[in-house]
Amino acid sequence: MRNGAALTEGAVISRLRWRCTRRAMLEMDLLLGRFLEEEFPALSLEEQKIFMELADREDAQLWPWVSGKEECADIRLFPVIQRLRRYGEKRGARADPASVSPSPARQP
Amino acid sequence: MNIPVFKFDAVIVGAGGSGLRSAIQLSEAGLKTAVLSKVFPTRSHTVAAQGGVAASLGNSDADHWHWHMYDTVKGSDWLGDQDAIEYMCRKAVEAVVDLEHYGMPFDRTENGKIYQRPFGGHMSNFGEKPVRRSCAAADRTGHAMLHAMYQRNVKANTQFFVEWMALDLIRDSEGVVVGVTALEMETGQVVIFHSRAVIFATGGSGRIFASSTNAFINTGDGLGMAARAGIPLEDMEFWQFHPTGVAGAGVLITEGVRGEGGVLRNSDHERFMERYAPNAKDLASRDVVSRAMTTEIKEGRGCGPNKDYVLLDITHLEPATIMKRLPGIREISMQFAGVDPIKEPIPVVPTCHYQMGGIPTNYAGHVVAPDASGRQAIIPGFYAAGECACASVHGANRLGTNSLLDLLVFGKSAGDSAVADVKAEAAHRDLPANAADYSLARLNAINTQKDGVSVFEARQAIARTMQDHAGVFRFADLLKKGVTQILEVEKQVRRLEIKDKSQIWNTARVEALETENLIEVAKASMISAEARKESRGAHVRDDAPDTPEFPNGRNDKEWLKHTLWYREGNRIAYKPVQMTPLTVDTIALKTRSY
Repeated sequence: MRNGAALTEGAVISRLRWRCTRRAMLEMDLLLGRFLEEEFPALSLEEQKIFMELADREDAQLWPWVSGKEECADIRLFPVIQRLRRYGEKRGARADPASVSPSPARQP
Repeated sequence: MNIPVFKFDAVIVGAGGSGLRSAIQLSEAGLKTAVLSKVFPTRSHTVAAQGGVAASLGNSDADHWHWHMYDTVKGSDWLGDQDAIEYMCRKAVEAVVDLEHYGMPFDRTENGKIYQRPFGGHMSNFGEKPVRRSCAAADRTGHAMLHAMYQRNVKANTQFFVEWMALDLIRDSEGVVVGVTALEMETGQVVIFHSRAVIFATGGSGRIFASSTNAFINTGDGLGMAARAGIPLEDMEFWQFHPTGVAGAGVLITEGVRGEGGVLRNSDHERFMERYAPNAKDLASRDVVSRAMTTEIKEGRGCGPNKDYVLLDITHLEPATIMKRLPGIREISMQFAGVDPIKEPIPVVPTCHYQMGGIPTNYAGHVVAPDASGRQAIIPGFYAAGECACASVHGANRLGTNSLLDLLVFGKSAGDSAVADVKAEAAHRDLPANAADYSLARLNAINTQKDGVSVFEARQAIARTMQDHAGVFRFADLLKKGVTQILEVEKQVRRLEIKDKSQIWNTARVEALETENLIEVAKASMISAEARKESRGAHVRDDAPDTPEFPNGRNDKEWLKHTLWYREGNRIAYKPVQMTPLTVDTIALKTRSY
């Protein structure tokens, strides 16, 4: 995947949003897209980096971690995975009509 | 404006299963091949296919491609073309062996052969008894398939353009396809891909419905491009639905939940399936359950503030049973419905799952459309495969595990056809003058629109209109209203406005472009559905019920034909179903019952 070096912060977030909402599995589109809007801004810089790294991983690996089917053994990633999982359960990533549009919060 | 031109022998749009399979044929034949994809290839929606791929290997039970062919024709409710179905079922074994050679980690039997599992609708001896025919790699079949084929492409020097969006087909004055325009998301740059073959492998378009199991990426980009280039879309009224998707989210709740004792309830808390299917109740077949749910909602007994879903209730089951027998369901319900199913029922609706129609092709992967004299003619330079194409092997309803088979077999045949055609031509045909003008005008309209409609509003309008008027169970009055309404929504889509005018990673612009594709699919589906006045396969109308004269509401005298929808004037035409297979006898018309 290309990762341009000289992107502005806005472009980096835009690209991250694309990679969070155009995934292989609908479950992950919903979960990562909503998390990005609602929780990502409040993460520490280190956690934001880890989230970006997770967003570049594949759903076949991520989904078992965030759905609790498997435990993530990487202690560096684990706290953000836990946070995603708790967020999913709390928010119920959820059942509202906005789910037909990938990124409602930033629509002009 | 000076638009860069990239020259390739072949350009493939889409890097899911069919795109990657085509690319292997082209690159290994030594052709300079580009694959354009909105996402990294192994993130395509093919990943979500878990059930397996059908092939009559006969490893677990005696099996034959002819039996597989029978099941597919029957599944299609006789709308599938029997030449294409024979071709696919005969090629299935080879398709699986190819994958094996690419390193696909199929599940194995003790003696090392590919293990095969049973799947609904797979029968031996022309519908007699179930047969184990599905080849899988645990529950990651699609994922493993993509990885195996991606590696093979890397080895063959396929050139990937990742995070690019194709915009429009380029056809010359004779109608020959000579390339595509595309947008690089990272730079906002529009580029012409000048090519001797263009293969569309863009997947399904299930995002036209409010409730869909499809990932957000499935916006029908190939169908939109084909329609804008004057190519008709075939059988777009046929969409496969699953009865229990989480309302609003679309995430699937497996059939197994009802198998373990889950029941469906309406707003009166009534277990309504007892009225519709007194014996099977909640375990009745998918279409019966979906139809009952739709009727409850239509008659005002839906739940929630908009009374637009019903409830799947497992609160009467022991928590220990839920945890043991239905692992993952609690997590999915909590994450996507916001309810703990041990304490509260899950809101569900019939949910769109798979698109049977698409860009019309023959079994060699060539796109075909009627010429001036009405004859089905090949569109030179243009090929399509997988869910975006209509060969037609799924007809009115797809047999389980035939979707992965479709993309392997027709991905390969489209690739082979393109190789043969490219090698037969001495050089690239000329690009027409100003080949990118049409795409640039579309982009310009989006960039400069003032006081327009937001992408969010437009998508909502498309999805609601489709869900409310052309869902799993259809009514004449709603379809009529739906046609009027979707044409109104189209006017909104013509006025899409984005606030972000930047060039670099402007995802708002890409989403606007996707929306322009979604509306073409939505119009095609609604108008084709309104026009077909029978029930067949997944297209079930209230005014075409099951009668002795027309069992299941199917009317072969008038409707044994494929629909073709043209964007220009929303014109509908029909073409005959190919009832003659390649080498065997026709599988004669029969009532479809299981």
